[in-house]
Amino acid sequence: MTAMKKKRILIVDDEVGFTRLVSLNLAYQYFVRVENSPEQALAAAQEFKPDLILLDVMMPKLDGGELASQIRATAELKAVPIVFLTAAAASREVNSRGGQIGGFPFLAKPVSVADLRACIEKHLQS
Amino acid sequence: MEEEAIMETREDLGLVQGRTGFTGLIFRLFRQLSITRNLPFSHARAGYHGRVDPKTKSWPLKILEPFTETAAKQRVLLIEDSRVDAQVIRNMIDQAAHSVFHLEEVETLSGGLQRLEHGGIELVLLDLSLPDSPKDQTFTKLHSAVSHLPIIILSGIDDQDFANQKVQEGAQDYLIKGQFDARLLLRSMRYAIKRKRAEIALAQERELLRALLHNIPDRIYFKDEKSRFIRINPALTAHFKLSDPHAAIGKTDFDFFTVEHAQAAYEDEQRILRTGHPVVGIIEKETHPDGRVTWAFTSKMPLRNKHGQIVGTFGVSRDITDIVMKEEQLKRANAELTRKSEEILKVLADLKSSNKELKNTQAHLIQAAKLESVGTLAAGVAHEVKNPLQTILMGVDYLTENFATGHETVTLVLDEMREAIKRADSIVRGLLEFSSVNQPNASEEDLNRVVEKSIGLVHYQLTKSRIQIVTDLDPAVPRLSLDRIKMEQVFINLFMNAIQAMANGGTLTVRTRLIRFEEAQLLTGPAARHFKIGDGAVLVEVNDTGPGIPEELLPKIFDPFFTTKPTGKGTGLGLPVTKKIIELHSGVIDVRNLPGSGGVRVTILFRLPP
Ligand SMILES: Nc1ncnc2c1ncn2[C@@H]1O[C@H](COP(=O)(O)OP(=O)(O)OP(=O)(O)O)[C@@H](O)[C@H]1O
Ligand SMILES: [Mg+2]
Repeated sequence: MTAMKKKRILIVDDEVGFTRLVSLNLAYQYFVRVENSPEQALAAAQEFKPDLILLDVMMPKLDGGELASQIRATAELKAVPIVFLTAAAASREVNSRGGQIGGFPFLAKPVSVADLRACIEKHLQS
Repeated sequence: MEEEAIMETREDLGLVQGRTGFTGLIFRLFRQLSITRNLPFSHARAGYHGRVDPKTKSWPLKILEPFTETAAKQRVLLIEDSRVDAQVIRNMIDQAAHSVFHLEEVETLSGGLQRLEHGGIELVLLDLSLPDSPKDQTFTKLHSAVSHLPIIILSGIDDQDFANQKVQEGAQDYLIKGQFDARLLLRSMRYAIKRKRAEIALAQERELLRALLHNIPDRIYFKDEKSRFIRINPALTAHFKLSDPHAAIGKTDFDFFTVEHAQAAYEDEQRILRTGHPVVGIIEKETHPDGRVTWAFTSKMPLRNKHGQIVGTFGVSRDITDIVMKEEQLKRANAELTRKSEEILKVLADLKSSNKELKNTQAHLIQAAKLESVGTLAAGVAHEVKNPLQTILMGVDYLTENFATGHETVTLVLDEMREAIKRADSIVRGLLEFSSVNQPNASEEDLNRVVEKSIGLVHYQLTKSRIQIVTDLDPAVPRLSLDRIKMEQVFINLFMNAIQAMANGGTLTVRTRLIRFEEAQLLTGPAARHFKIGDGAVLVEVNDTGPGIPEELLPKIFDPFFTTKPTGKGTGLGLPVTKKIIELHSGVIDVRNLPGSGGVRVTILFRLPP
């Protein structure tokens, strides 16, 4: 861990308790911004300019998949890695799909802080 | 009364049968018919009641007065104008020792006719030259008036030709005056009466025969030894569509029927001619050249001459076409009925089986609906449960990282919480897995490799529980279209069940085989419903040496959430998921206890690729 600027992580999830706790857990390591309203997520991303986005798949009004393609369609956000969080996956499925949903890597809820960190680190490298 | 008369007449006719064999035969036939029908003779006649005059209630023929031997003398009328000649005759008759005759005398023809009108006269002695009649007309006049009476001519005309002519015309005898004595006269008189009676009897018989032949609706024929018609009655004439019965004479059945019937009839008749045995009451199919078919109820008998030799055949046929047609209709209706009732039975059976099918389907649907709702439920539950679990886990991790260090109790509490989260998660995961089994992602796979890989995935648990693994994989097993991931899940479920059943060690045997159902006894359990003798299959067997499954629980092991394992250890979804996956591959799964040694054998059968 260098003294370099902290990486910026945008977390989009309508689950308020979770976002609060996850930012608590990651705040030491990353510069975390939370967005609980998916419809405002794109604007937030444009403004925040994250190095990685954590996206919940199943959200009311706008689901993660749709949001991901909007983000990909935005020029300045095109290259930002996106990792999905899903509450709907069985763990064996995660293995069998090679950890991908619609071309994006994903993590099945509930995920431990350790696993979440490992995943973030992995995708920040690439 | 009437009946008696008939019987008597018949008897009388029987007397003359010898002389008139032909007519006798008719009566024998008549009698036979009545016997054939098991009816008394009088009843055989019943069909002809329509022809009995309703007013007199008498047989229409006026020939039925019985012949009776009169004890009294027979009255003889002498018509003679010469008193001398009359005296001579009277003397001859009276002088006879046992004369049975009583003589009455008149002198003119008109006087004679007058007397005859009163009746009682049984014989006429007639002189031809009478004052009121020319010689050559006397006989004719008298004869035409009393044709039923025997007439003996007593004439002075000694002319053989003239005499012959008179006998021809009907005179019983022609005696020339002065050329006969008492003996000759009396004998002539006796014979004249007898002969006349016979003549009348014969005429009666002819009349009876004619009446029978003409009025009976049955068809009667007589044939010679070559089966040529000698005589047919009007009923048969009509049947042949002839206008005159004589037109049939000399012809055979071959002229009126097609060969089919004519040949059969001919053979019958030839047999009768050979054997003398009648054919009684047979049903004949008559096929006509115009395509018509008629049916007859027929009796045929040998026709014998007076010496008893068979000279032909005769027979009676009744047209029973209507009856046969009706019978045929009835038969057809019956057959139709039988067919219909069979159809109904079939429909019923179909209904029953489709009802059963429906019930099965319904059961499946209910099951599917249950599973479906489990699926929808699972997705909802997953979302609703996993998100809070995630929050809790984040909290637990936060507390662990920031506050637990050095606080053993806090660490313990947080670890317990983490365990609880995992358990809840595994329940939800099981539900999700169970509900996500619907679409297989199949490709050509080597089943043995899938088995091996699955064994590798449970290797840690096997060694931990000191379980020996025995694999016996048949290299002949062909590649099958499988969803590899799901099949791995199947084997892991089965292996995990076996491992959990052998907590204190044991042997897990996995066997694959390419088999063919050669005998029915192999087709037990669910296999019997999916395979038949001669089918090929791929078999997978997973055997353990655990305690087995209590028999009463066996029917429940495929129920979702059925488990005997402690909370946290089993969700009861392993076998239902396994079964679903196997069925998705059109396979069958059977779980049973191994006899004797105990332990469980799971058998999976896959169809061979076509
Ligand atoms: N090999 C076996 N030996 C003994 N009992 C078995 C075996 N396999 C299954 N069973 C019985 O069948 C039950 C149902 O099995 P199933 O695999 O469906 O659920 P489970 O193993 O209890 O839970 P899960 O598989 O979800 O962890 C088990 O609880 C157990 O009682
Ligand atoms: Mg199990």
